Amino acid sequence: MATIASNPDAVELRELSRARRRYLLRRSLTAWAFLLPEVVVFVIFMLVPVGWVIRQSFLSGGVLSPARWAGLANWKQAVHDPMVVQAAENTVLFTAIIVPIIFTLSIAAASALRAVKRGGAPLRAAIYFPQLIPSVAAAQIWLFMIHPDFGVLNVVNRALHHPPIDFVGQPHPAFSLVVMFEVWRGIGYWSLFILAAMLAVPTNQYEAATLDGAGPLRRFWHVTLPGIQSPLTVAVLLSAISALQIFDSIYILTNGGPNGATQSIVTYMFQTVFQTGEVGYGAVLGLTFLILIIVLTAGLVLFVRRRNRLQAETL
Amino acid sequence: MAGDSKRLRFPRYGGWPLAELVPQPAFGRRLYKGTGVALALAVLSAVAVGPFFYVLSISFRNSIGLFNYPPHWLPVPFIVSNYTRLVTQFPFWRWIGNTLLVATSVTLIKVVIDSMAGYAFAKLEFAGRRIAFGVILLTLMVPQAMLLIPLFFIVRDLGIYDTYWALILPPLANPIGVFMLRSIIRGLPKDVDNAARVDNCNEFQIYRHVVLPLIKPGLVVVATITFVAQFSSFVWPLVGTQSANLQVLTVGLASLNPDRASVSYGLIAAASVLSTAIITVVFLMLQSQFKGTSLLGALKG
Amino acid sequence: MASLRLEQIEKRYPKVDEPAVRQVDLTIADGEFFVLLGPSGCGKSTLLKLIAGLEEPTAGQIYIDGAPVNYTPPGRRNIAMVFQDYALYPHMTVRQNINFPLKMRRVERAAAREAVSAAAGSVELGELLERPIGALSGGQRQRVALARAIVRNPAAMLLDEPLSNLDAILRVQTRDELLRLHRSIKATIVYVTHDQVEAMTMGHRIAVMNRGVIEQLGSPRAVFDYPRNLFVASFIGTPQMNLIKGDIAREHNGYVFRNSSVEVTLDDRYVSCFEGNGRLERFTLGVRPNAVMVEPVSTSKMSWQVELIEEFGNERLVSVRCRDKRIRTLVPNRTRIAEGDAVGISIDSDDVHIFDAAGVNVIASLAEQGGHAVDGRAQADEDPAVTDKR
Repeated sequence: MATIASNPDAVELRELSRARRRYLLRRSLTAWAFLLPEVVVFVIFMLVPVGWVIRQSFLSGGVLSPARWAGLANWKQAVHDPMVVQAAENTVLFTAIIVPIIFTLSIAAASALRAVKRGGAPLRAAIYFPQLIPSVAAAQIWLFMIHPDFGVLNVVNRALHHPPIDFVGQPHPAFSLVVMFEVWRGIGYWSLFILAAMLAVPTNQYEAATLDGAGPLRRFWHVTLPGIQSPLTVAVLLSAISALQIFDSIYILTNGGPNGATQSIVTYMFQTVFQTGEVGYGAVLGLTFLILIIVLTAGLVLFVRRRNRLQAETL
Repeated sequence: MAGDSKRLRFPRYGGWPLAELVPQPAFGRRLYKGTGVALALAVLSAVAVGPFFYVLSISFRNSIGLFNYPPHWLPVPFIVSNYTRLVTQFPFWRWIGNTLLVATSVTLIKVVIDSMAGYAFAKLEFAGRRIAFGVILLTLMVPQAMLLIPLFFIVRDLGIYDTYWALILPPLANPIGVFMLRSIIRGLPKDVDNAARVDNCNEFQIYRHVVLPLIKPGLVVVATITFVAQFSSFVWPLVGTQSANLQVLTVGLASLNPDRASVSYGLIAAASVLSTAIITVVFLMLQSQFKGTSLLGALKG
Repeated sequence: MASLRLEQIEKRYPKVDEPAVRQVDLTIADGEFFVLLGPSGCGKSTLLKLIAGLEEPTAGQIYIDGAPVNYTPPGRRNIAMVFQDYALYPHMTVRQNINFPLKMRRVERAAAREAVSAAAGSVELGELLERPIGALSGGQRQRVALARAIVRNPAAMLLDEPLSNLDAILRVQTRDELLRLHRSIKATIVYVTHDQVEAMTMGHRIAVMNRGVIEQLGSPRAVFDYPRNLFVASFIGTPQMNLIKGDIAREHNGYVFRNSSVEVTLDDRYVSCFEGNGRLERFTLGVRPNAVMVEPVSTSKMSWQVELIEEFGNERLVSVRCRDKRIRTLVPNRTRIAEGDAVGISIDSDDVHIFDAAGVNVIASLAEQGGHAVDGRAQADEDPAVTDKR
């Protein structure tokens, strides 16, 4: 740090650098005081476990028998495991189907909600309701609804003279069941989020569009949608990340069955660790999953950024 | 140009043509614009809330009557025994008590530490800030299920296995609150914290006198999300504790129907209804703190 | 009340090539109303934040009343600041806002109450003390921000574009109130603005900044009459100074500025500037519109066509054109002139400024060559003394 001090006194310079060090120290300490509780909890209950999992993926045994270093054996096993492929497929498929459906319906729902002038609160509460119910209870409720004998869905079937659908025993219905459940639950949350984003679009843009002769549909397409583009992207990203991680519902509804038709990577990992006891292998699955998510998220983020940059350049 | 005629069309109430399209204080006529919207909303609400009422009906009935076809939707004959059985033969109150205790503790602690960390990330400069935030962002993608086993070992080695601490401490590591509160704090009026610095506040005073009062809606959002998530949390309580007196509601509920081949439908229905009712009440209580602010507006950005 | 001194201040932001503030040396006297003037992004707000202690300088020293304060936190520098957006505490009432700095300094309650009333009184907020901030208008909020600043009797007050959020009438009113306030509490004020009218009417001295550097420092009169370079010349003065490119030629009776449309004979001051200078090309002549005279075509050499006439209230701004050169001139309201007319132009050599190819005023550069160092104090052939304007 260059100073042209008015009296180049060595003592004063030393004083200054001491003051500077004190200042920087005080600043760091203050910041750490704020961060400490969160950091402590975070390190102990998040970073250490993740590290443990990484280490575990190279070990075999370790629960009932002492752990042995297995190198890449677990990883090799994962590569050759057909269930891994199927679980991966299912996971991606779930996300690829659930997220678009949720958002299409959420945007529609948010638009409908926006048109409500009075008494919107109970409606919004009602729509949010499925999100509130503890997942275990919600899954139970759905198990009731699909029951072959008295479940609502099958009653409708019977009225139409169809045979009752076995949502749990057949692969395709089981898959649809999980999708329906997650969509049912997810719309509540995301439609309110999108509603908030829509309400933030400045009204003068609508006014300008109306003056230009745009009707309601065009206004929606050219004002509303671009206006919510940014929060919408965030929402889609977050929703995709959590869709990849669906666990509770699959566990309760189908437990990955029948024959792995609804098995996701996470449920497979859970089964491997808790039902088969192969902790090392489970760790591998967990890590693969994590890497998958990171890669997908990074890819999506880059894709969005590039598209935004191109848009900005062409304007 | 198409739509020329629209420019000349002014609404009945005068003012901008837009008055009918964007939600505004009602002009006292129809509540909804168009029957299409009304229909969509009706369907939406029915689908959202319907299943609950369906199960509500089952909870007040005898299992036998369920299998009639054509079905009777209304609970006739109306019985309450499912509920009484639930409360007397099972430690239902214990389950609720545990859940409320854990959820409340986690929520309170999380609100405090997340707001502090959020403030640090938003307004303070320190070495490694960007890296630390990146790490936190990355861990958003870590699936909870992956951490179950190591958390089990950690909890055991710390000596807190099968205690309330095991239920309260690990969930504190979820970073979503830090993420949200940081962006909310960044969105506060510009220079308000600088003004406080010039007014001779140290950082903690700024946090206490200026930031906290201004982020109340955000705190309510974080509290709500945390509480609801804790209420619903299933797998970790299953793994982290084993004593019967530490069971939370979700675990208890699952224990009523271990093989998905249940016999007492009414009982399970009653348990589902009660759990839902409780969380709904708490949720409404938290929401009343909001006084009209949009719940998820705080999430933007 | 205190003096401020800045020595070789530099501020660089990480990953940004150009420094936000560079080589700033300033001495601000006790009780002075000092203005930092410049366009957006010139570094004036950054400089203010450096003085306040909200940012740390990358290099250089800051002294308040002779004491080095680089590492003193803002709360202990005995300065107060009014931010551009006022930065009031939205959840508090007016009284609580004004009281806050006192509360944070543990001022005893009775004394604090008095101080708050006094401060509120001097900005005429007495009746609004119990109102929440949200219920106030823009002008009222501004006054709360001011009251909060003066309640502590700080050594110096830093104002960051305080008038920019007010409408035109309120702006003029508040400007006068600020000046009154300055006179009554005799504070040292550092005032940041991009509005040169504000700077000229309010400041004892102005520092004109551009891209992190102080381009010129002097009284409003000096800055207006003797701009050191093209930037200052075109930034100060409404309507903007005319800038005409051309060459200098040596004629028998002295030097002449000339281009295809304009010829101005330069007076004796310039003789010493160009003597011995080989290259006499690519100079710029600057002349303010009010110094350009319109005359009948017959009396002048070149014919200019009137392109545009704009009403300026008391005068009219006439844009004339000859070939590809345009000049703007101010004429009294009554002048009979219309668009399309052909007129002549005359420029008095007393009123011109000549800038060299680098954009520097040749007279100032001569003064520099003559050995006068440019520092925070006087500059040769500008108003040397810092005179109190009122």
